[in-house]
Amino acid sequence: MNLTAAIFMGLSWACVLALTGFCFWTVFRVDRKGNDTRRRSRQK
Amino acid sequence: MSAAQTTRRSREVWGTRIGVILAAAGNAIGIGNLLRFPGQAAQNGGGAFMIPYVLSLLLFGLPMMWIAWTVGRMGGRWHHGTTPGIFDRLAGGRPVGRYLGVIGVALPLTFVLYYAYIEAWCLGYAWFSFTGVYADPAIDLNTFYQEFVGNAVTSDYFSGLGTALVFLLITIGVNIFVLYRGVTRGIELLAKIAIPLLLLFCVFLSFRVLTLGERAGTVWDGLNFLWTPDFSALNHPTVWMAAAGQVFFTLSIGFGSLECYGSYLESDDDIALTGLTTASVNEFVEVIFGSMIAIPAAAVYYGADKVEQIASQGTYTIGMVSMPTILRDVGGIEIFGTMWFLLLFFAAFTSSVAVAQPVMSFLQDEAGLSRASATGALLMLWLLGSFAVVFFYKFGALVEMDFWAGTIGLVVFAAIEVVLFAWIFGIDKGWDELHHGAHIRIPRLFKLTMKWVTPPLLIAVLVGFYLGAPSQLLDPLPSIHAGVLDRGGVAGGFSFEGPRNAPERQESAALENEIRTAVTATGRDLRAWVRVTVHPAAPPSLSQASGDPDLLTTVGVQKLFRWVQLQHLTYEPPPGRAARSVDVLLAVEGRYRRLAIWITRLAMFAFTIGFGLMIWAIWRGRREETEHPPLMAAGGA
Repeated sequence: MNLTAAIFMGLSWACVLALTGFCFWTVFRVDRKGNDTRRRSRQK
Repeated sequence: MSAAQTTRRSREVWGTRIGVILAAAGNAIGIGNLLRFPGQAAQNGGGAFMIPYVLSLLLFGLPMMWIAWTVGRMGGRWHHGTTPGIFDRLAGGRPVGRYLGVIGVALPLTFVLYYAYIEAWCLGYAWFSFTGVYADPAIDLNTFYQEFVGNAVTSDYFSGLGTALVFLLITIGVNIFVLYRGVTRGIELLAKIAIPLLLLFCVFLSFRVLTLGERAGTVWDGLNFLWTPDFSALNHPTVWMAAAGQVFFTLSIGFGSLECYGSYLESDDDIALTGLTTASVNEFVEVIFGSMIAIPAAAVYYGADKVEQIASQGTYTIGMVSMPTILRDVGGIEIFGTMWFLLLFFAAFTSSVAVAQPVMSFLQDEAGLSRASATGALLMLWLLGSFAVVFFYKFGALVEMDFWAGTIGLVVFAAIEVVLFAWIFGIDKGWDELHHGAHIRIPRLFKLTMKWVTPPLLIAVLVGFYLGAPSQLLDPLPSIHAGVLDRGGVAGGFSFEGPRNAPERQESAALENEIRTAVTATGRDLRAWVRVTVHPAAPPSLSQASGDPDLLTTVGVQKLFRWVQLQHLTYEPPPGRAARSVDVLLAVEGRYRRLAIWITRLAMFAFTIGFGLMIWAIWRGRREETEHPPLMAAGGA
């Protein structure tokens, strides 16, 4: 695989992985703190 | 609040946040992620394609996605799951809002009618793979595919549309079953099963492709081809339009389905993070798995120099012809072929239930039907519409519907939505609504983008799509098809290379015009048969022609022969067999499409008018109830 292709593929993959990682990390962090509004309303 | 509103039944809500994320991701992840994206990237600058792709994502993909969630959640609060009701409120009760919102119901209905057929192909091929129906290498998968879907002039593998219709019935049946079970017990449960399975299949298939070894090429050749940037491609507007189109399709913007899913949220549920997370899952599947399976596999099997040609043959040829050919020849079609087509089926299944849900929601929320009645009404519409698509497929009905509903319609609907949201409802109120209950803060730059950049950009995309459409889509000319008859009696593969250079292409086009003129003049399909002797190492020779006199006398036998020669029919004997000449009969068919295409257009128009009339009647009924409330309701209020 040539270097330019590797850079473009690596950058694209890194961006996607970072975005997905950030989103799920935030979702689980928020929900673990009990901020999931639906779960909260169901617990009431 | 009117009597009608006070008596409206309570709406369902999603069970869990992960369920919402997976369901919305399932809506977005479709066949396009795994086939369309790599095909588009391969043909439009390779790695450089990612530049207009990311810009499109930032300038209208993500803004429109957030707008759809916001609009949907507000709609849920107003007891509306579809855009006629939601746009009515956004437009401050002006009738134009609800009538424009009709597009958000007619469009998804049109879409599911033809998408279900594509979904049925995937299911059918999963079954064919599992049972080894096409495991024999002598079976030509291009002809197999064309005959299965009903686009062939031959009938070597399928004698009619019966098999396709059986799989279509099963597909519609499972969709209707999920929709009948409702949002939580149906759609959410399906997403929780299908999306993890889909990801698992992606991982297995990527691993299989990585371990294909070296044949005509390697996996690295495919990745090189896909990712090496060709910056000169960025000078072509078509590349930018292709990226914009891909972002539209991949995020399922403009279908009315995200708005509908959003309406099943509670009013203080987060949408900013949930929306971004669904988009990220979609991009994960598209950019990572979309680039790891089909194109690298094609590079291994056919060689990197053939990949562009394969990619240019279109999404379905990659998925239904190239991939099964590769997986069959490397072995294990029963496992990996089944996995590949189940992957496509699940991707399509989660999208089709999402796009059908606005119709269900409309029938329940606005027309006041029970879930069972709404499901029954949708089933009737779906069966009638999809069966028509199957029978009109060979005349181009599916392509026509995909152009107007799945290409132009999406952008029109999105443009209307963004103008209503940012300019009529007001971007300040909309922005506050988007952040109500939000678990992340969206950069304010997106607020400016929603108001000032996204609307003109969508109008530019719309104009680009229209101008870039093939002229045949706007003016339904007859189409011309050729195929080898009696294939079962001749072992080996046949293919049409097509004209080899510009003069040949011009000559072929001129002859096709003459055939089209003959078909148009008679107003019906015209057929001819030509006897061809094909040798693997020599040009084909033609000896006899027979067929419809209207074709043979108008165009002339010599010109028909010349057209067949220009298609460069090639023959490849089965592995281990010596090269020899074979005699085959070639069928040439000119299809009269105009009538079928205009019926298709009228049907799509009729859906829109039909929903518009329903809206008129429903709102009239509500106004009358408000002005003259029934005694019981008045007393209760």
